[in-house]
Amino acid sequence: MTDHELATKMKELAETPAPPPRIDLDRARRIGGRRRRVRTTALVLGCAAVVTAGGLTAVSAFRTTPPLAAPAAALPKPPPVAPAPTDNPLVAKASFGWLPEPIKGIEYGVGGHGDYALAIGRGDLAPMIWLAVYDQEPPLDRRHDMGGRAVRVPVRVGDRDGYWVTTDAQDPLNQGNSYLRWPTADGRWAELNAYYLALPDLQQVLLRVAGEVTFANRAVPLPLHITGLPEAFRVADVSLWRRPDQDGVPWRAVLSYSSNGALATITVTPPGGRADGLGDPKCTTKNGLKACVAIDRPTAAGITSQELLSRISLVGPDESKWTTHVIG
Amino acid sequence: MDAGFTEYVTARAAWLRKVAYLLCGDWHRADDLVQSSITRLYANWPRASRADNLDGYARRTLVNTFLAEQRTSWWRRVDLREKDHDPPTPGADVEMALDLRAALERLPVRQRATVVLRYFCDLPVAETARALGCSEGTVKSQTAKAVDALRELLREPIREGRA
Repeated sequence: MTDHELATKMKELAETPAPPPRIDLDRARRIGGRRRRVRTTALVLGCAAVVTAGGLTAVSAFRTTPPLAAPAAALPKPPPVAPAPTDNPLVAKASFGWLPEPIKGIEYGVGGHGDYALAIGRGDLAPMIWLAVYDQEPPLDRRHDMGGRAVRVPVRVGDRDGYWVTTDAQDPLNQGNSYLRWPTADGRWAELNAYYLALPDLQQVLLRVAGEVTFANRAVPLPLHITGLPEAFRVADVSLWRRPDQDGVPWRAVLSYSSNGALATITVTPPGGRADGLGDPKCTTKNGLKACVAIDRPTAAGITSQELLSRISLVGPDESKWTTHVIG
Repeated sequence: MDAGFTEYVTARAAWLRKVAYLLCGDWHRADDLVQSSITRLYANWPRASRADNLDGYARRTLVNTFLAEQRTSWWRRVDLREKDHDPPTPGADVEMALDLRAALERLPVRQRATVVLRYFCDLPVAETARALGCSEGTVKSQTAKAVDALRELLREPIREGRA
């Protein structure tokens, strides 16, 4: 098969019989319009704050703890920073400090599709503040989706020279899809990407969030322990989600491993949560939590879902008792 | 503004749906991907409608939605498929195409996106790199790996050049 024939076969594949489309233009307009209005509100609130503050705004950007209208989120303090153990597949490179009140929880994810911490609120358009750390300074428009020429707007982030990334130098918040970057003490680069966050003085809010980020590998406590994880298992993705509006449960921990071309997915939730992954899930409920294992190709994985499930201990729903020692 | 959006999506939804299908291998999930993408497109329509290449903007939005949803394991947690919505049974004439679908599904997601953009959308290396937010070198290496994997999976050599 030539590459031309490959292209032809892909076009044939795209023409295979398909069910009727379920694309809903009105719904796209309705939800997309709401997103745009939230962004516009954020922009207007930000502009209003700048106008009110007048010349003080430029000075306030250099304060380490600027005055804020937004109250702080009531979140449990993260455990003290310690060297990351090798027996936990979910290690955060950076941790949030202060966060504004609309934020209700912090999610973490690692794996083949990027490592992040995500401060998230509630609702259909939940406010989100993504935190990522890069070994090198990323390209300005790293996802090539900003829709215009991205520019830097310099700003002090704590004691460091950082910048906003925006397509309009007059609007550092980039119409509410805001990017703030700054170098870390060890030469890496941190980035906040915030959206659906409609707060007065949003620039100052994000600068304060950034100023209180700490950088150190930190094992994220999880609600399970696994003994005898097959040696061939490699982490594909691990995440701790907090999306009660979507999942119907307050949190969900998902550990996906690849092994010899198979995908094994372990899901732990409070009772009532759904199993993730491919394949027929096997589930159990112990200590007030539900655990499920799904393996799409057990023969390739060398273990069945039931066998892997039997090697999992559940810690319980009390998050203060979750463990950073997950494997072993 | 709405008229421009409606006109564009009405004209290009079928094309977006095909790209989405090649990315995810399932028509129902392709619909969900397109729905998410056109929602993002509408939210950014004042900007998108001024883009030099609106198809390119929409395609980037679709691919980014696909990759982002992979990153957050979205497809595993928001699987909207129902058991009674299984795809139509293929006839003999589409079996070869479905072999390719199965092979595409075995590729890592970024390799899959790379071959879809290169071979279905006929994008040059530079434009594919822009769509995926990576270097041209990465596109070349991902393409080579993907083609090698497809060759292995389809048990048929894929040669450089035209037939």
